[in-house]
Amino acid sequence: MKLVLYISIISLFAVKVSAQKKFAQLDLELPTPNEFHNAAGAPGHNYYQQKADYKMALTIDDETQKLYGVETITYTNNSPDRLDYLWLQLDQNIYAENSDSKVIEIEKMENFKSIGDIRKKFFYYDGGFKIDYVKSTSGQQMRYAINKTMLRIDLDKPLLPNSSISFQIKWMYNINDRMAVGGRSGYEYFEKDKNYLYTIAQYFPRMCVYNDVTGWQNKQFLGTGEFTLPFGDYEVSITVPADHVVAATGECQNLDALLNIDEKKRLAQARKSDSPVIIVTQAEAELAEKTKSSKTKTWIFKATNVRDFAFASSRKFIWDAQNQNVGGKNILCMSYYPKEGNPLWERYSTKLVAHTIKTYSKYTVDYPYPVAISVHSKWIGMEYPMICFNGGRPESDGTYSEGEKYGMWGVIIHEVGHNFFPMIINSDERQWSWMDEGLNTFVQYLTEQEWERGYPSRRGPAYLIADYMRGDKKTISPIMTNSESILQFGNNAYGKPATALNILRETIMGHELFDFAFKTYCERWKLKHPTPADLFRTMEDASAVDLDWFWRGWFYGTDNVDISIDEVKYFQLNTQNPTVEKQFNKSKNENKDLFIGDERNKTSISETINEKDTTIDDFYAKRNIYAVDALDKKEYETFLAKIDAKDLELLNSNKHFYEVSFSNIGGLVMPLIMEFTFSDDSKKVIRIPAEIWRKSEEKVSKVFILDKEVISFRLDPFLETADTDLDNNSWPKKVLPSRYQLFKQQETQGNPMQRQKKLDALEK
Amino acid sequence: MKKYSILFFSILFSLNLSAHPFYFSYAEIAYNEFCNCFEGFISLSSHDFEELLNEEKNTKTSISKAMNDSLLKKEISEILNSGLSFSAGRQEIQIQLEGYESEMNGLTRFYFKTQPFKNSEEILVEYDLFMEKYKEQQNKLTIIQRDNKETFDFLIQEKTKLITIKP
Repeated sequence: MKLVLYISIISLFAVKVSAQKKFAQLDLELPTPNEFHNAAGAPGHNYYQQKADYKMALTIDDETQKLYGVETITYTNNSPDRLDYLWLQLDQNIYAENSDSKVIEIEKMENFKSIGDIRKKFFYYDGGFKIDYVKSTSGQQMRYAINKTMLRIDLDKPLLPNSSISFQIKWMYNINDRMAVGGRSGYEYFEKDKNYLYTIAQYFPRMCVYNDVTGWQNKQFLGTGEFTLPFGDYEVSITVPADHVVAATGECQNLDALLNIDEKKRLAQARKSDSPVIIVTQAEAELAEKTKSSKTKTWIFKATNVRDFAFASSRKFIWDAQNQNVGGKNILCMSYYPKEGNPLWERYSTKLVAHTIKTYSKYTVDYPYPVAISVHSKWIGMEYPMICFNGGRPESDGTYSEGEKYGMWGVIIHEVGHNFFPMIINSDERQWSWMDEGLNTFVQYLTEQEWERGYPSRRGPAYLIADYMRGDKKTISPIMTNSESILQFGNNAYGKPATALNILRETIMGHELFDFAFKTYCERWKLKHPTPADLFRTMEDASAVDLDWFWRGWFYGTDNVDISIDEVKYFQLNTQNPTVEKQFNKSKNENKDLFIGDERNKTSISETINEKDTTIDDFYAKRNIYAVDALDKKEYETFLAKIDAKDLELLNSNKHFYEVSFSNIGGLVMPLIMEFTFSDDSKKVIRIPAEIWRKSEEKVSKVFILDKEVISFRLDPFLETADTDLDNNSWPKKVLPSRYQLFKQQETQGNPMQRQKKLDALEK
Repeated sequence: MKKYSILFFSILFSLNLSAHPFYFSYAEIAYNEFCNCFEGFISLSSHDFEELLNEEKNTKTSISKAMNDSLLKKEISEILNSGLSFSAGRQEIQIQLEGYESEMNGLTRFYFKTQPFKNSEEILVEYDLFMEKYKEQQNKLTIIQRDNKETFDFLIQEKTKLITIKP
């Protein structure tokens, strides 16, 4: 089909105009900007945050695995509000007998079909804080009430704005056996050498956050929503067996008294080294494992402007360190691990810490703390300021699979990365897991890719989230869901937001705009408390890209991406030149498909009547419809007289016009990334912004004007939109082999299992 | 009174406080009308599966070793069959493990083929892999039939789905 097209009449054809939904601004969803969080997404002119300073004396009883502590908290009210009471978090109470987390699981009788299930139900561990007292600094008892994982102190006099209060709490608890009870912290017992490795966190009554957003953030700890904590300064003394090595948030103040001469020399060397230096060797750690000192030593640490304080202690620790310069400042990167972590840990851990600190600083803010620590802790990955506990344990024979290696790398990068989200950019974890896990997983992806080219990241690339996003939307939570109510925590809080940010960077905004806006968010909110709106607003404010549709779809919605190519129509311009057009029609007629009867009749009928009888053919039969006559030429001359030179040039340009129709099946609007393959096998990619859907959210069409004839069209050729069905992304329709079929194809070429068998047979 | 089978194996007590869970598996099956069977794969976290293998079979190992270990392959098959089962009427349809690929990003894909099943318009699928261990586990299964894809979701509250075969 040919159409007369003069100049640029081609653009979007809106098939259906509907009420604006997907592109509506987020005015109703976002909180009204105010003096504390402004409309640009920055801290407002009256932004404030509370301060909680701690002085603590802690003792680990290695015989009974108990932790004793006494803390003096100085709490400063920087808010404009009068506070009649204070709230503190008692996270250890999640292990208390009346803990909600033990009874809120949905159960059915089928959950009790094994003796293990029943034993699990009756498992008892005497966990939870035993509070000895809450006193004023003058020694007077203070009134307090405990509501499960929260403790309220009732003040005799209200705490007024710009004033402080100090008080003391004494407590103890039975440290949980992490291997049996689970948990983010606890101890691991090593049966072979009869030693303990303690990773201690959430171990002291900690101040809740009070601010203009939530008032007191005293939502109960149920196990998933992590910790919302104010910044403060810590001075902590930790008394442990004399042969223990202690790693903690902050800098140790009395290393001179704790380390021997060799260790001091090695530490001094490590501070100047850009590769790891061993401070306590494996041989030294193994000796300590055997001798077991009965004396104690006290390690003293200080940390400034941190939101929490964690530590690890064991006589099993091997310790290494190296320097990493960030923004002209030296950061001491360290690892602590038992021999069971080797050879992986000695080789990689500290290098990964240094790489992570450096790379995250590039994309977010310069790391502000003096140390960064990775501690070996079987199975888990858990983060605290300056210190984190990470899995990645080789098998007992010292070998490890490649998967174990990547698993260890990934968890160290992730947990060290948490220093930035939420330890520095201090979001409310109890409310929004994605604000730290999602943002951290995104920068983790960037960091992994800078560690090894083609690093097999589990989360970040768009195509990796497609399996989760397809299916029944009732079983998917929006990212903007409270931490405790999320279905599919890992994909929801980690994978989907990391993917969304990756899509913003790669597809919607581009590296330059995204990186500037993301860094602006981080700089604005470093050592402060941001909310989701602050991120959403800053990303727009710093880039001039309206992203409300993106936040609405990816963060507030449960739609998936499934855009299909429905139809392609092909057009060429009619030049109006009879010489060209009649020749074109003649050629088209000559090349049309021939019915088999017509073909056979050419020979089977030797002569027709009109071939025999010349009187049969009249005017119509005799005329040559493809001949250009004088009238055709005159009409063309008249046409040329009316058209200007530029339009004529355009008419003769031999452009190819393709009208492509698309459907938004999944509901989540995304840009159209079209790849055209031409008849000469060359390719071209055209990107249409997501705003093409703004007036028609379900179906759109677009005309692509190209210089060459297209033989195939492909949507999302670089797998950058998380499209859940790639089968409808091609024209002509191309059914991709299923992953099972691909596996079978590989198998015929010999899979690794078969290859190994052949190799074994050969060796025999 | 209903009877519940009692299996004796140890289970670690956990308050589901693992810091960074995965809790997701994905299966894709295609109906093959020539063998009257399903062909497909299950994609899951290698680490989660090794934990399950340890708990259910007391086998502490890496999946990657199953290549040359027929006993381990058998144990893996048993776990997969108990976590993803199909039935057509009264016929229970076993899945047969054909092989697997462990990816460096921590995921493993087990490829399988089911036994042939009798002509049946509806197949009952129970996909509760990992759900005894992780209450938050969510599994998804996509069935491909004649260019059409349909995805079903499985949660602890909804472990079974009826799928219709379109001949």
